[in-house]
Amino acid sequence: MFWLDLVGTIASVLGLGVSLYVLGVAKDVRDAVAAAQVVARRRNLAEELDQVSSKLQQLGNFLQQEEWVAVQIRIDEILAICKMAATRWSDHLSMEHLNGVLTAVTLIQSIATRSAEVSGREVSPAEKKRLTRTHLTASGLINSARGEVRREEERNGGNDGD
Amino acid sequence: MATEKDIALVQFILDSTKNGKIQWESTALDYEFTTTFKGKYKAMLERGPSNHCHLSLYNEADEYLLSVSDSEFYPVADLYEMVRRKALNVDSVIDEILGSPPTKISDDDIPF
Repeated sequence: MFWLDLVGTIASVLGLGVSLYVLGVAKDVRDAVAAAQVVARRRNLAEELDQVSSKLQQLGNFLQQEEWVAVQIRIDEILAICKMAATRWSDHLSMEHLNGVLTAVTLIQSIATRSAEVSGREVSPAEKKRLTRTHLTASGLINSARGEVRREEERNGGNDGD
Repeated sequence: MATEKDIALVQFILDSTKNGKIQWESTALDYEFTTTFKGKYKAMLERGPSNHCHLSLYNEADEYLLSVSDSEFYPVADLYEMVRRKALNVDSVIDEILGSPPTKISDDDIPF
């Protein structure tokens, strides 16, 4: 009887140890999954900002060529991505850069308003200069936010062999 | 009519702009500047055809919240002027003009 009790006790202690170990491993796995999710979300944001940056370059070309229909189409696309990104990924941007992205949205909206005004007539050099300057300011704000997201991604191991 | 809270907001924006805590950007439209607060609120500062300056606030859904003009609270005009000067780098231009050495006229500059 004594031996049976002893074996039972040892088995219980071992079982408890194994349970604690499994719990610890499960917690580590959960933490790793959460960290991977944060990295994936940040990468998604970075990809969306890359997309905006690329479309902003195209927008710049269309502004130079005074292709107003293409300007409006690109602006619609840029605004849709920016607004979605600012809503979905706002927790991955500092307040300064989130404000920057939203200010860029307002600037791009103003380009849409101005280009709609000038689309039926010749654009004066001053108007074109103003459109170009506003476009460059918006690009600067988006690229600044992109830089922050990329930096955070690299700092937190986002480029660890994908 | 602007309420006390509206005026407190204008004063806060004026102070924050003076301290460089708020960064205004000029839009593609004439006499119009914009900035964003708290990652969701947009402020527009503009001078209308009647030369009156207006500060307007919008929420994240782009819905109009309030507007204060310089006829209700004169510092709105000061804010507009401060933002305009910053956007156009007026102080740097003055520094450049004042800092540049006086131009000497050489014989080559005189065409006769």
